[in-house]
Amino acid sequence: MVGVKKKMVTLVSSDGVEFVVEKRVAEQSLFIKNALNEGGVEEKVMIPIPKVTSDTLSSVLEYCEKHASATEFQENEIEEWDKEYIEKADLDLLYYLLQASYSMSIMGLMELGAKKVASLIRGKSPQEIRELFNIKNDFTPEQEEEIRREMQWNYE
Amino acid sequence: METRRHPPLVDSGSACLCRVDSGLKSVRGGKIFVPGSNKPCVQPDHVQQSAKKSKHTPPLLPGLPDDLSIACLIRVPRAEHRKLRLVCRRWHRLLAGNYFYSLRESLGVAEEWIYVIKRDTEGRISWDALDPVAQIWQPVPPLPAEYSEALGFGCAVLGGCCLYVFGGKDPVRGSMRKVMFYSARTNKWHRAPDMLRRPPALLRVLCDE
Repeated sequence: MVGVKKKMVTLVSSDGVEFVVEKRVAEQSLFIKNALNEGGVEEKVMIPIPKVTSDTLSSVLEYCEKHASATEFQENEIEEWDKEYIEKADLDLLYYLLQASYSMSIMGLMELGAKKVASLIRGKSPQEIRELFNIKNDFTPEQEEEIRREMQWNYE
Repeated sequence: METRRHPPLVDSGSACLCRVDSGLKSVRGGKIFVPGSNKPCVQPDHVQQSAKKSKHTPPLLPGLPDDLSIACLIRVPRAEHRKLRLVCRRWHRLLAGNYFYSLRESLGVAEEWIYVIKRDTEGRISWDALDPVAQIWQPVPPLPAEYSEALGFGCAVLGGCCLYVFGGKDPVRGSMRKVMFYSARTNKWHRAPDMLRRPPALLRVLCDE
């Protein structure tokens, strides 16, 4: 069976791995979409994606693939898929996804990642937050006490 | 010259970012060539940036550039904000500044709370705030003593974050010119300049942009 020939582009990760994907998938990234539009190039395009490793890029493209076909799904199906997708990511991958979605300009993915990081903070104590994100407590005990006092009305 | 080719994750403009901290610019001049493109593309250069910055200020979230960290932190629900101030100095500064809240507002993630006033059987007034999303009541710090039993005062909310109480009558000393305001950002009551005249009764407070 011969279908309509799909336009493909090749994305090259920072560690040199090539990903051949459909143009409509790659175009979920505004950065790539603009690059393709400005170039007016039809086929055999190779686009380097600096600072995004193959592991991260593969995860990013999984997102792009799903969202390029978003019209085929109900909105809540996509939401459900997004939830499961981001749930799988550990903190390291979350950070990589955030940086990749920022540099590749994939706003939906960035929003999803940022919300996920925000949700990790929910319900945790300041000390638990520091431990999770590897943040040093640089307050003196006096400063900490002072802030705690100011906030006491919300620590009942 | 630096250019941004796509919408930034947070509110645009390094000028805004600089208000929080002078080291927050994340877009640097790393150029890559895109076939067919006649303009260089600008990519954020996070690695170099964080390496440079770490000598001076610790990052908001180690491992993430600050503007992405801010994009995450502004999405934390308001009910958790006071706790965030206790994490470290930089978070405290970020949460205490106007930038954080104006960004939440411009990105449409600001949350409105409802403030209610009540008077106990001994005549003392107090305020509570309802977070309608989390469905949680939070107490507002008590009004300063000299205002705590006032009767018939006026109220107004300004700038989405300041709750003003005007004038009113003290049960012992009579009508007052005092004006106090509570700032939701500092979680404190502050004194504002007294009204020009002592009003026998405050009928209505109007406020608008």
